[in-house]
Amino acid sequence: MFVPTSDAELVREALAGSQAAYHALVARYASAAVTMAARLVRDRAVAEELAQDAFVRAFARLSTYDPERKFSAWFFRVLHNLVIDYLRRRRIDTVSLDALTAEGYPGPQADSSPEDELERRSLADALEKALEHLRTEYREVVVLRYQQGLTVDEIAGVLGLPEGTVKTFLFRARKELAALLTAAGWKPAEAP
Amino acid sequence: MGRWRTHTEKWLGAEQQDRDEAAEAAFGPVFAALPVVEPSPAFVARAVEAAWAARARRRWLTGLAAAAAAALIVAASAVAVYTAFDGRIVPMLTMAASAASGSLLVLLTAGAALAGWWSAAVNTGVKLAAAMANPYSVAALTVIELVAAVALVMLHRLLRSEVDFRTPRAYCF
Repeated sequence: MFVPTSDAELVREALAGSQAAYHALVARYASAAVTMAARLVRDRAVAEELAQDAFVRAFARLSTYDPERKFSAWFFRVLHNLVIDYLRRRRIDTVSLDALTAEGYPGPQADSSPEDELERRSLADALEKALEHLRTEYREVVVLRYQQGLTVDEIAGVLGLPEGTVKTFLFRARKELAALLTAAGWKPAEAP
Repeated sequence: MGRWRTHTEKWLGAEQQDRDEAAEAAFGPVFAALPVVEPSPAFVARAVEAAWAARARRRWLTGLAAAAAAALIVAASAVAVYTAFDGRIVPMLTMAASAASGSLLVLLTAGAALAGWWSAAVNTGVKLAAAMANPYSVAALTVIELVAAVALVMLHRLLRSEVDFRTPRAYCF
């Protein structure tokens, strides 16, 4: 049985040849990787393939990981490169998200009422549709910031962009999403 | 009105009034409505297996490339020595061994050997020129150059994959 530990320790163990350690590391980031890829390529099966490739590539270059930095930021750069390559090859930006939401939707949360869950799904649908209209780079910074919890500095490292550009992308992405949600019938609160 | 609508209204209100910091803070809870896409149950095991298989393949290929490189170097050296010294190789090796023994007599012999080496160097140039004119030699050289070219291409690919890995991709579709 593998004892849960920090990412850096898991990396060290994996480099020493422990398959269990890498298994634990993959298990820790599997959902985040698939979610991130799925939001960008809009296809669940492809997202899983890309996430798997990212874990294979990350393992091959594990010795280049700096334990002083966040593993997720390092790993997402690997995934980002694979996703961008895929999108370039396929030249797709948006396809239907129906399959993704149908298979990937979690059940109602334990602490939420049916009404609450209905409202969440409605908002999630509106957000998914709005995200489809965003440029890939806007979508990626939004997902990295608000779903994966990376800082602006870390996102800049993942994408190879200046921090100022990341901030601009985040600002514009939010503005575009707000406009799209407003157009979809979601209203802002009254001014205080 | 549920909490999701409240979060959304708060965020949209902040955006509308250009309160950037408030909008940034309010957007997080709204984005939390999006579901996490869970991978299939076998995903983790499959990914780890693929990573281990790729490592085994990489090690095998590295070993093969090292063995091929070593064989190529030995073969190329043998061909070069044979071409350069032709029938003189045995006496020259004897002279070199004698020179290594350090005796006075051999010192003189070493002088003679030096002359022999000089003569051999001149001979090498002549042999190489002759080899270039020989169709078999040309074919052998072509094969060696092809092997070297393949080795260079593989090295280039390895280096490029390293650069690819270290450099985040730019958006350019």
